Amino acid sequence: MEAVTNNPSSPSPHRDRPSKSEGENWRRIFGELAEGREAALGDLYDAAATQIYGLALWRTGSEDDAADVVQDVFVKVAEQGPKLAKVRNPKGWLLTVTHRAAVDITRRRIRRSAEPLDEYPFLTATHGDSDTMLDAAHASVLLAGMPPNLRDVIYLKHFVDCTFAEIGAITGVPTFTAASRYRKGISDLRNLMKDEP
Amino acid sequence: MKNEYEREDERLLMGLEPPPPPADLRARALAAARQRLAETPAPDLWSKIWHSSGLRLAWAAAVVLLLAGHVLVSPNLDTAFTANPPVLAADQRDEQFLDILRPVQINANAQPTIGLFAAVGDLDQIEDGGNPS
Repeated sequence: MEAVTNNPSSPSPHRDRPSKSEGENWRRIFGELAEGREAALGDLYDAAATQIYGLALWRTGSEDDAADVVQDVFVKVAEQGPKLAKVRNPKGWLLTVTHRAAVDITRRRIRRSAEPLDEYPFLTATHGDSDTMLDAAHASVLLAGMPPNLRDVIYLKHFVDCTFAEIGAITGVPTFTAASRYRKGISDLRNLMKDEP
Repeated sequence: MKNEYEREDERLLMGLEPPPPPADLRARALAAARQRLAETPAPDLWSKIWHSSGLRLAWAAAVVLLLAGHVLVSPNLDTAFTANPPVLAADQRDEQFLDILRPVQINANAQPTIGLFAAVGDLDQIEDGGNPS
């Protein structure tokens, strides 16, 4: 299968490349939260929820679990209070907290066991034509067969545009391991897509 | 500048993206966070002081200053007072001590009224005339 390429330049929250102003915006939001401004929680959600939810979804493979992870992350943010002012890299901090929460919830789900994964909603089509939607569903099934630690590295590299050093910090592995996981994951995905009719 | 591998990786998932969060998640997440904020009691004065990095720094600086001051102000052991018998003798300090320690007597010629030095009949004399000391 080859991915659909029509209208690839359309704007998307996942495709937005990080910029210096984005980092400053996140630090501003964290600063306001540290000062106790509750309204900044809404700003943080608008700025970060897509990436937090996406990472949680790709790690857990469940929309419900991903939603729980997002809630957990925001509760943890609220718990930090003034300590948020000391966070130098808010995006990295949030994604690290998200990754840990997603790993925890995945472990709990494994302990419950025998619960089937959802319908693997890892990807959707940026445009609503049927071919792209089919590609999205097919790629989601292939991604569901991959180990979560390869899947979340692909997500962070491809959709959040993290460097391998950042991915290593977020997932708690050395930079080299993050890079090799990405290479293996993307290579496996490419091979699976080629093999499928 | 992306290399050929990176461009190929991007083409692999082009046109696809992870789904957005559910519409109701914003309200749920913010409500949970606000509830936690409400449950968290405001830190009291001592907690603020304890967690204040500025005050910790000031405390550490004060300790360092006190230690430095102690080292600078404390007396030099080489010049500390030591007993020197010849000097004491010249100063007659021993004599002064003797004067202090010497018992005070009301009358230098007084004799004990009892014991071996009491003569026979002295008790009667005391009864008659009172104790001479």
